[in-house]
Amino acid sequence: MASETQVIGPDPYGNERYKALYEEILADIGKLAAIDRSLIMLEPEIPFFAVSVRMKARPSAKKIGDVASTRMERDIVYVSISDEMYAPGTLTALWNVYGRDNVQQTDRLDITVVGAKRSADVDAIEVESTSHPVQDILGAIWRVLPEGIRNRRTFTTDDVITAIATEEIMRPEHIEKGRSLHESMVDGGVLNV
Amino acid sequence: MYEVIMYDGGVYRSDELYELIEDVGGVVLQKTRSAQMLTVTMSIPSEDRDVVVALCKDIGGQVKEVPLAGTEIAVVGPTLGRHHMPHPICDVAEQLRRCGAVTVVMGLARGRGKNTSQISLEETSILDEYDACVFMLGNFKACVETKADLLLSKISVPTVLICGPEPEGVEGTCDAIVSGIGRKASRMRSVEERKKLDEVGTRVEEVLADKKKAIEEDPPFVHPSEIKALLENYPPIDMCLRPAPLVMHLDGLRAKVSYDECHEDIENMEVYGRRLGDVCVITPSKINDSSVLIRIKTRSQVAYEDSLKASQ
Repeated sequence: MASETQVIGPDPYGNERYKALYEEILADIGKLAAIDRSLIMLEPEIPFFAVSVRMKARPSAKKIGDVASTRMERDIVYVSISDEMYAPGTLTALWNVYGRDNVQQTDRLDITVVGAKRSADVDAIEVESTSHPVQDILGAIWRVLPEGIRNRRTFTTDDVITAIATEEIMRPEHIEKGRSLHESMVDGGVLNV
Repeated sequence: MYEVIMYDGGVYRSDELYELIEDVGGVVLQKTRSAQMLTVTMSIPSEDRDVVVALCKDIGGQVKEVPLAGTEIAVVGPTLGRHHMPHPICDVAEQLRRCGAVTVVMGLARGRGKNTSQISLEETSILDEYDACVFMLGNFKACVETKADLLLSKISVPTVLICGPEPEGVEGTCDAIVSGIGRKASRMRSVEERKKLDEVGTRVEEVLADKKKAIEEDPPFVHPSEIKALLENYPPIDMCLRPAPLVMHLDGLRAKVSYDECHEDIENMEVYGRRLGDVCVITPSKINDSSVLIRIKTRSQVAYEDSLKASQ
């Protein structure tokens, strides 16, 4: 199912362009497909901006077994990475566990590991933690929000992330509005602000 | 009357082109070589245009019109952060380069935000060194109107405001407005976007045409291209490795050499039997010591100074 983006704000031109900008940036980092629904609130007169994102599923940790295939031959584990995006992370994780002397990158996507007892041990090594996708999405939200709107707060609950931002003082009513937006997204996306 | 055109082709037989430009009394404004490809922006007498165009075609190149040739334009964004760069600022700068201008992309130190954005005196004096200034603002009407008044009203050179929505009440702050290009994160490739870029080129051309008309009413004592031809053989400029060591302006030029080291030599050069320092105002650039600004005095200014000297 495609991601749904809703924009609320008094400036129709800005709303339309920010929707396109938001979708472009999320597609750029490869996270648009992981998002179920997004709600963007743009009030440039104040200025107050809020972006609330509900992901399709609760982010889970990625292990080497998820991003690569492994096989063992004569005490050597051969790792063949299927998603290049995880190649640097896989190499770092293997170095941390088996040491640099025992891990060799023979090709762009192929790694050999000496010292592992079973290929399943290599499969179980974590490449990306659960917080990583959340950090990526938050980074994208900071990139979408105007550069000068730097006083920011974040709310996170399982699969919903909400970021609010204003230019100078973050007033209690701003925080309340952001929290209300966040709760409405947690409750299923019915706006109550 | 001189015309500015651009040759776009290969380096093959380009020496013949340079010889012809010299023979007809023209001058090469800028040449850029990339591997075997060459672009030459030249100023030639109108009556010899056909001969030069025929040679350009004969040696396998194309001739393009460059309405902004001989100008240096600053393209300014609120900051150089990734929110504003590279798109669409670089797309606009590229469009202006295709029209023949030399462009400089700049970001303000504290241009971001709505209520907190500002432009310093140093920044306005740097922007005033250019022939024109193109300002890029964002997608919200309220922000554009606030910032246009704040940032553009302090600049003396012609300014073109590029923004998303059509702003209201900012007509007095800038010379032209191009709306429909706001903040975006990808290249301007669609047909509508290319049309918008063409519109930017046209509006900048119109704004500079007004400035050219004003300059023609009291023209400079010498044409900037004559001073360029004079300075080209000056060793520090001849040996300068910067891409365009001499950049022409409508009323002078920028020489990318140290002011402290070179200003006396430049002032003492001779043009039409006069010291260059007497017919030009030579100052260091506000950016840093690495370039010299040469503003040519107008004919009436030189005549007035002559009359003052004669009466003493």
